[in-house]
Amino acid sequence: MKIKMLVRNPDDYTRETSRDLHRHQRNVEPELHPLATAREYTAAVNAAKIDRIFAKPFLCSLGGHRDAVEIVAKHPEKISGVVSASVDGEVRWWDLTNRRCVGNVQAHDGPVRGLCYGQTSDVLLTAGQDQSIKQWRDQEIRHTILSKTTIMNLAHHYKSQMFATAGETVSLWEEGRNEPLRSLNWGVDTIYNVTFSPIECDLLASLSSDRSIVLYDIREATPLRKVTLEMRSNALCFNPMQAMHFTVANENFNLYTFDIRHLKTALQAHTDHVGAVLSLDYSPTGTEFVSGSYDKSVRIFPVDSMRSREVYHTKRMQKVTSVVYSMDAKYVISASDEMNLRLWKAKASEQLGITSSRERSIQNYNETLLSRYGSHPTVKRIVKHRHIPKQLYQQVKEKQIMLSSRKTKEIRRRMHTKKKDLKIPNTKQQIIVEEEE
Amino acid sequence: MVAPPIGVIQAKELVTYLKHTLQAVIMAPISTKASNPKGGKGLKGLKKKFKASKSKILKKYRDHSGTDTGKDLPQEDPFPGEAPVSEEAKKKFGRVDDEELNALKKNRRAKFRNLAKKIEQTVRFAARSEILLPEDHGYLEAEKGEKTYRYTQNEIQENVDITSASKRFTLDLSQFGPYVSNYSREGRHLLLGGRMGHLAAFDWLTKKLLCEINVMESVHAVQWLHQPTMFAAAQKKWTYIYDTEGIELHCLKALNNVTSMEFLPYHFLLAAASESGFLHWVDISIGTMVGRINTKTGRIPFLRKNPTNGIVLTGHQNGVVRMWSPNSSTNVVELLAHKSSVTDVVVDRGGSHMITSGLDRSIKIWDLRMLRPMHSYTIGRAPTHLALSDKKMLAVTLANQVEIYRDILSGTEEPYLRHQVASTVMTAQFCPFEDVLGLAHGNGFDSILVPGSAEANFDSYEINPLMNKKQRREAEVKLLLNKIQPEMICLDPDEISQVDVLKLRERIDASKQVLWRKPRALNLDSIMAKRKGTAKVAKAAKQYIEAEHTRAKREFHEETLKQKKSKKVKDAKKPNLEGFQGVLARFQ
Repeated sequence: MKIKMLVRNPDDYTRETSRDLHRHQRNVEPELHPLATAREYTAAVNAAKIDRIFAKPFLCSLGGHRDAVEIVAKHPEKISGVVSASVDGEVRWWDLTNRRCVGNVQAHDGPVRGLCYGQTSDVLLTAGQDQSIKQWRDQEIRHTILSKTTIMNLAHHYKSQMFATAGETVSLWEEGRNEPLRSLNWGVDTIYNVTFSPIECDLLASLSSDRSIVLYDIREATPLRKVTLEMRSNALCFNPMQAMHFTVANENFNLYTFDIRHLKTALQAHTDHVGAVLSLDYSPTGTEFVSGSYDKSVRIFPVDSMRSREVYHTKRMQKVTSVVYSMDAKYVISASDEMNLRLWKAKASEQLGITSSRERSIQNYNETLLSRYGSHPTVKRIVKHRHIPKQLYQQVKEKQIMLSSRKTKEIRRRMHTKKKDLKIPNTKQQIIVEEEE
Repeated sequence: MVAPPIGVIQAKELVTYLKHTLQAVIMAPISTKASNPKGGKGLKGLKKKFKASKSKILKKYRDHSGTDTGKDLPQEDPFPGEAPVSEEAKKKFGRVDDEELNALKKNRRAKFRNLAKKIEQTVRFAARSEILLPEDHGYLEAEKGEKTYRYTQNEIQENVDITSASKRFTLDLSQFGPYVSNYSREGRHLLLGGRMGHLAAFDWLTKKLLCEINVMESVHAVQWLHQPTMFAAAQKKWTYIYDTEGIELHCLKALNNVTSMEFLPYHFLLAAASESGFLHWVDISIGTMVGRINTKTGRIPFLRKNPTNGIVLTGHQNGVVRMWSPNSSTNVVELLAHKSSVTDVVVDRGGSHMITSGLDRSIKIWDLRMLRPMHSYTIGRAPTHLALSDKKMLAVTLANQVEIYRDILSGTEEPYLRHQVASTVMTAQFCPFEDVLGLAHGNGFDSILVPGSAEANFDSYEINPLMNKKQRREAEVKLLLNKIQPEMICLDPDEISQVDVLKLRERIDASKQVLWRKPRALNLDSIMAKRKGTAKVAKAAKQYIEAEHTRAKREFHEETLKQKKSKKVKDAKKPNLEGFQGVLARFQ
């Protein structure tokens, strides 16, 4: 008789001392894991719930300004450094790690219109409504230029010492010189925003009050393109990873992403705000951007999505004038009308601080589960659900009703016209009034 | 300098390599917790295997180099590339049907190619990780001219080690019988219930008694709940839940006159069948009655479960086997298994086979996916109870005799072991993770040794037979967190991850209907009458037809919208009644 019975030595399966980790024995044979799919689905639902439970995006509010904060700029070298400027002409330097103000200066008489860092933190430029451009270093003034015209905005070149101002024309300046190098213009209207591209460094975009977006190559004598939209755009931001893509924040509650090579239609319309969108900033990953709006909310959009991924609001936050995505893509800073800066997490439920490898693996697992089961109705509903203030909620509803009734009206109008063209152009094309070269 | 023996180097390398691959596997299906695969025994086994191959390699090397020294062994890999994986292993660890992927349309195939690759890789890793499993299954082989079923339990007991020998025991309890029994999920604890009111729970490996009480009324069925801290006992009238101290925790008056019970651990459902023909499902984590069905078949003699999908099975006197889900007021499956009364039903742990026995002295093996019989055996006497082990060994009781078959699923008819107990067997159950069969009978309980019946390598994230108190508590929390909702019980356990084809087809049909919607009968006379035969008339007619088409489309859309709205109103009015709410009801 040849016989063997199954005998396990408990020492092989239990830990030696109470300080050890518990020993685990794996066997991945599917028969030992019955109902794996159903359990995984349940785990996915739980992961969605946990994600919502831990969604506490608001980190802190930074007070100190004595008037509405208009502009926020990122420090080029430090993640924790931020500068803000308010309507009363004050500029403040912030240390986000310690959540405090590290310096302030009365920079201009009247509102500050432009604020940006140069290539390094040695150069900080401010422009005010008092027609002066000031250069700062370590909170001390280095240089002042008095401009002949009003200045509405300011942007620094990413790779050279040039910077551009917006006003009656777009003017190109060089650090240390008191006169602009040259002026660029297309049409006559006031230009109130100017932005350099971070990749195609010589590419410049401006927004003007005739509702147009104008693109310039500063190496060329004349501007490149001009696109006129239905309503004016308030802010523009280039995608830091896609050289040819940029997004504008429009007065008609939407944001539009464009491809420079094909300006006949927008790549994507981002519709979720219920007030004019005032500012936006791209995440350094180029996959997302944050936008602040007149409807007192901050939203985060994936670049390729029409709907926002996240909406942030607080009871006290008024219209959001400026938003910034931090350079590690983890935080969002918003400045608003009621004199405060606010620091938010970009991923609402993200755990800050050091995580152990086990925590990380569970987070990864939950993420995978959500992506795998994200389209199941239960999971989708939980992940999508946001509690928003009653006022905002009503406005969203109202907007939906307005849009649908507009659409119905358009269909009916078309039904009763002689030429029955029922193919309604989409909003991406509709917003573009004309494109000029 | 003497190089270390090549076998050892290879084994070490292989073990580290496999550790990495195992981690990759662990990521995939169930949990991502870092594993701690035990190298101990596996490494020893590997060393043995490589010792055998070492001599071959040496010989090869000598032939090649022409030298005879054992020194300066070659450093090159004798097994270049990845170790091959057998098709059998792939099949065992596979989770996705290849046919499903092949059934996809060509243009979709490209999309799923990457996914398929990933799945295949996972399966390969899983199959390779088999080598790391530390335990080997038990076996019993007869000498030449002998048969294994001739060996008595005493002979077996004499030939095994002392630990295994202690697993064979007999409890002589002639006073309060006949007895029913139940092993806990992790196989360490045993529950005995005597018809005359005797209830006992104990750790049968150490023979340590947890509690022993007399409930002073008849006990018909006993069942451990999700962990060996609580158990249910179906007594004369009602069902009670006790803890391991023997303290009565609950009295489930809703479960009255229960004949048989089953516990679904992943759903936390206690299923019970009663004298009056009712089936009950009680969620023991929140204490609610999840389902209550009048089967209208009279007394239900026994209740069994399908562990892969949570469906319960009943067998009836007219030879019919029915399957029940708490989500359906009627049975899910009904099949005529035998020409006379069905005595017992079991489903294997893979969920692909069902075995039934009837008073017509036959045992039938069914393919559960096709619901067709595969084999049928006739034996000398009518089998009374069946038990199926993790390794698909079948125990058949014939009054006071037990016959165990090793490969009955693949068609071998010769018994593996035979045993006789003192009285008629009331319950037969293989102990999970131990090579033991428990037989509760009229005069007590018999624990007999069946080498090779049990799963040798458990997964401690599922069930851990050697867990301590802390691990038990942890496991309880995990189990509760991932409790499957009772609405998800259905025949196909993977239905939740599949496309709802019916709904999809409905939607496609609806969209097709829009395209093929017939316009109203056209009255072109008024147009034609004006100017016959001119190009303008033709144009006008064309426009008219187009307008009719668009109108028809719009009407259709409005109609469907109306229908949807009215359905929503109806649904809102309708209370949440019982009726079939399958796993896909949530999509409505």
